[in-house]
Amino acid sequence: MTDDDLADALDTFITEARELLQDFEEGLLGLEDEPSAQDSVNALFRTMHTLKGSAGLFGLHHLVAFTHVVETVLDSVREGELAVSAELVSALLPCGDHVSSMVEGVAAGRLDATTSETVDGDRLLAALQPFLTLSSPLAPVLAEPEVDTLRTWRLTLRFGPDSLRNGMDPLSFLRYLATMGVLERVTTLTDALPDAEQMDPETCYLGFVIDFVSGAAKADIEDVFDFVREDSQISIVPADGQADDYVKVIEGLPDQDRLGDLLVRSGAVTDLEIARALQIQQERNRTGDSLPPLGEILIETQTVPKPVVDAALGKQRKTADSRSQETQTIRVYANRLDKLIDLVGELVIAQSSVGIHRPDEEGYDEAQGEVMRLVEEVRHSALSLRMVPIGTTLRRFERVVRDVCVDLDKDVDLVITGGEAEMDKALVERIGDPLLHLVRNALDHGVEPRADRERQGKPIRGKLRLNAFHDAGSIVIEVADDGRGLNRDRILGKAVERGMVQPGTVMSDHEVYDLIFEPGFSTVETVSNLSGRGVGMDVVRRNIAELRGTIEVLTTAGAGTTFRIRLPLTLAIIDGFLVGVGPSAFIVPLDRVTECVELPPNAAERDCMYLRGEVLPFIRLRTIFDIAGTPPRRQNVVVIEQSGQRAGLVVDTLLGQFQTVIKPLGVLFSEARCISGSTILGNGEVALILDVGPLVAENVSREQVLV
Amino acid sequence: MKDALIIDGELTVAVAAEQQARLRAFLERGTAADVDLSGVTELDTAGLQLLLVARREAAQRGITLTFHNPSRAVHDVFVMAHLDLDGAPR
Repeated sequence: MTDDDLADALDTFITEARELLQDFEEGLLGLEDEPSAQDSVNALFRTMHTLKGSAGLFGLHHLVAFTHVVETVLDSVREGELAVSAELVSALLPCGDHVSSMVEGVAAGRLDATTSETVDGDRLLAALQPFLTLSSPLAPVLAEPEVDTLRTWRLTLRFGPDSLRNGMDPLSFLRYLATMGVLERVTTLTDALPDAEQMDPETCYLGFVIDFVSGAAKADIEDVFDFVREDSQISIVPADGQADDYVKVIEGLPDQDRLGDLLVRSGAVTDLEIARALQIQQERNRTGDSLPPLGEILIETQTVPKPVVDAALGKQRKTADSRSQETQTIRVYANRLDKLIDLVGELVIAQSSVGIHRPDEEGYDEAQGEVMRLVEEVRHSALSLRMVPIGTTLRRFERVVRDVCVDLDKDVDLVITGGEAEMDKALVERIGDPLLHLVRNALDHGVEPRADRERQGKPIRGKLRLNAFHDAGSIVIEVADDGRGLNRDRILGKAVERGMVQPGTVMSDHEVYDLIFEPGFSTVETVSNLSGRGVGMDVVRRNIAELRGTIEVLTTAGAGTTFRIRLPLTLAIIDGFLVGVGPSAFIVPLDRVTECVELPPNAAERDCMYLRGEVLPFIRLRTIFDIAGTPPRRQNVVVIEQSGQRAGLVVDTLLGQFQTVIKPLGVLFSEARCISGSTILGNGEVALILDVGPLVAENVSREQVLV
Repeated sequence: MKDALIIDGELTVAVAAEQQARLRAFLERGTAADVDLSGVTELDTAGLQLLLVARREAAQRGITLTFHNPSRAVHDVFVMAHLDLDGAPR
């Protein structure tokens, strides 16, 4: 296999491994509910077996060694030697997580376990020990071939003043080093020696600089100084002139994302040194306001010579560059791809049929119509390639609910419905976090403790429902609990206390419940482990708004709360409203537009107008975007609504509704606010898509002060 | 005639205080000094730094301090630390 083939195969392995691990977790959770299901046991065993086998093909010894043990445990379950218990499931679940993290490590280019992974792995395997029957001994871990090359290290050793008193004789370290390699040059550092009269005979003053030639790995040399590391300064760096060798090694390494990993793999740095540098980084971050780069710290503490760090940085950058869009893969249903190709074929035929008719001929219009229809269908079909069922995302919460319930000592059943509803893959990925927050919130604050439920005559087991369905061009996701419901008085009280609402304001229930989405609002007095950590519902709403979605809350006191998220099916196409200002065209998302009116002639000098007795502040797009030319005699106002706030956009012409394919703006425009993207119009010109939220927020609040 | 100090037994942290006193008292006396190390059975860092300080101290006072007849233990340490028995560290 060439390198490329191998990389492709590895990608496939990673994708497959992720799926297997998902199955593994689901299977385990299912097993807990139904411990005797032989099918699930078999399936579980197979996931680990397959993983182990595939990992072996790629020489991922750390994965093989770990999955082997898990497989062994599952094998004895399969053979009936071991019964399924909650303890077993609890021990196996984190094993799945651990394998996941190793697989992600492989995806990031790490083909060996890191020290922390090894430690985690050992701990998890120790937890599995009680389940391992004697009949199935652990297979020996495949031996790593170790290639020893002689390297020269520059060791600078300054021992702590108390070393001698603690029975650590620096000379004995030199003696020990001499058994591992050759002390090529030793300089005894006497600069710390005090004058004779001030000298304390039991304090250690001497240090050594040693050029040490050895085949031992850096970590092994480091280990020599384990006992004195705390109060001594020990530095082990490649000797002068060796930096080039490391640069070469680093350049030959497989792609890695993390600087530390690169340096450790090159042998120039040990895990411990990286850990120490990271610690320094953290401390500086706490004291100063900037995060110093890891590489700089490593150079500064003289852990690694600069050229080596530079080489690693270069490699890191190259890795990041190469992992661009084109290496990402997406799984699509084969039948959808076939259908798309079919449609494209039909389109080509229809196109040629247009070609053979003259415009005035009979059948031309028909052929033209057919092309239009097919284009529409192709677009539809192409978009559907990105659609995935939301079920996978929802089922992930089974684990969350289980873990959170254990933490909170509550019994809650998770019911998932509508998992087959489909939505854009990009959306699915980004909705996970807000959903997670809602689920935790519902379990923590929604569902009451057992005793409370019993007192109210509710079933002791709470119920959390995740439901998804399509509704009028959008997807709706509901998170519903059967808990205590929102407390209107408490929310209102808190809002008054926080100065968000004037005391005595009359508000509808809906308005009151909406307050929980306001920034800085949290009714929980004590911060619990799960929610109430400042990441409030306002963040949830903001995240959802970023996806051009909305969230609302429905609640009945004592009977439960439902959060309803409504999202567009795709991020790629929106219904837009096209407007013109001078020679420029802009798109306003149609769902933000409430109406269009003509700009009253008397409003020409002001930045607001009366609309049915209410003041409507407006924004002149001509001014904001600095468009030259005089406005026409008649201008129009597009009334938009954002988070309950209304504002007008003054434009020259209204050009009507427009199916807008969103093209993201390049990095150059990443700082541009008020614009969320661009699109290409039928005439080939570019129109900017207005980002209504910031546009209104930035321009109208100022107006309101003036009004 | 030159003074001579014979150090024997251990020259280690365990007896560093006594040996330091002896070396210093010895330096107080003479103008040129020989230290005979033939009887040193063990030398550790504490001992080594005592010898190095003594030599530096002597130089500051204009005394020539020389180490003589290094025992096997002393010789090994000086070789390992790449130090010169007669003069300054290499």
